Amino acid sequence: MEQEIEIREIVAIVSKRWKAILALFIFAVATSLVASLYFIQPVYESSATLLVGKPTEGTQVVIQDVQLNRQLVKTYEEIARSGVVASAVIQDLNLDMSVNQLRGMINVRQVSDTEIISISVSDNSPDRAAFLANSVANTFITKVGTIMNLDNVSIIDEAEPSTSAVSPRPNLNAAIAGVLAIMLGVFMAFALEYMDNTIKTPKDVEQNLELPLLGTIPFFEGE
Amino acid sequence: MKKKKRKTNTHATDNYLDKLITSKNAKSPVSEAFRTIRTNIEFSDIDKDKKTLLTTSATQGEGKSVVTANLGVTMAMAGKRVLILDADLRNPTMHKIFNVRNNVGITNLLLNGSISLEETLVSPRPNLYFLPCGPLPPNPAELLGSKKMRDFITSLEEHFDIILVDAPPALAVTDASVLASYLDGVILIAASGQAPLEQVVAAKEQLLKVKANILGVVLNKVPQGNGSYYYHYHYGQ
Repeated sequence: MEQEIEIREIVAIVSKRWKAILALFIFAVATSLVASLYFIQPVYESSATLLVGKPTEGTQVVIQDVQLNRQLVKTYEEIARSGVVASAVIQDLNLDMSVNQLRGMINVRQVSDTEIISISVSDNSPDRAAFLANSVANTFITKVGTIMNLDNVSIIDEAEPSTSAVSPRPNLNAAIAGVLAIMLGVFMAFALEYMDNTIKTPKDVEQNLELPLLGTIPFFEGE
Repeated sequence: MKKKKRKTNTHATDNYLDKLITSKNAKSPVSEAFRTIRTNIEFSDIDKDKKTLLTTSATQGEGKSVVTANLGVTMAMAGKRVLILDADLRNPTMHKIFNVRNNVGITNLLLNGSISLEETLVSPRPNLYFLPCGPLPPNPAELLGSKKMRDFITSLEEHFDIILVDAPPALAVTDASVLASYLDGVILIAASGQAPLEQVVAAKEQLLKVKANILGVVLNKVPQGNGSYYYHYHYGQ
């Protein structure tokens, strides 16, 4: 019985202010859509993929080579991420940015357990993202040559300018904004309900006034 | 020689019944609620024969006068001779509910002897009589506390089974306390979701200070509809 009343109360508290909650929801979704579509600068990402280990010509693939290459991949990843590569790119291209800025744009990862490394660059311009990804890939190959004294990395795929932005994602943003708005709305409904110190129920009369309740009159038109 | 024009309270229009729901629609749930209140008042204080009841609220706008009018209608329907007095000498509204003019009323009867009760009384329906407040006096609280007023109400008691006195809000001015001190009982009206709890409690304390006999509380303007949790009564402890 008590439980049932509690659920009814919760339903009543929320349904009493459903219009405000709905308005908040619509406002949040609209704002996030407008912001994502018109105000946030889109970010484009392009990746170049590289293979560790030269494609063998004619000879059989030796299993030891493959294992060596796999172990090298982790090292190469770190080299690709290093400031050495980034600063070399900045010097070569005369870029107006700090080494850390460029490193923040570069994302290097090993493609699931293979000898393939993907180097991607995020930028507000799709062309520049592709161009920088290729520059980083080429510089990285050069650096591997000087640091490791190995020449066993080759480019499989050059980075292409991407047509769709990776961020912002208007739908995802709108969904998050909508969920947050509903949570906030429900929270505010409860906050208002508990701040509202008016007399409301027969229970309030019993508990606070210690006077008999002669009756309750439903709200009617004309009152 | 000044010729005196006799003023009377007459009806003006006919679309005033919205507020008098008990008269307009006796079968509605609201009218049923008023019947319940009528019964509860009847049995609220068995030791004492209560003839004069004061209706008040803590604050302005809690529907006090509408409740009083409908309670009067409901009591009259039960065959009681009911008189409603508009003792809100500051902001009278009862005459609007019964749709009569407030040309003459209680203040005339108290302050000049030339007008008779019959000329000022209005009967909106069988068994129900209404006395408007009349011209606003400069000193409402003193007038309501005067011996003249007490004697006037005592003189009315022999003509009616029950007298409902509509007073201003208890916290705003002292008028309600003054009346409560010598009337038989007080009904405290509180509008749900409108009157702050502590103000209703303050009104109750204020009335108890003047030894008022508070019969109980009428919770007014209770929201209806689905999901409303207001109608939960707890039986027992």
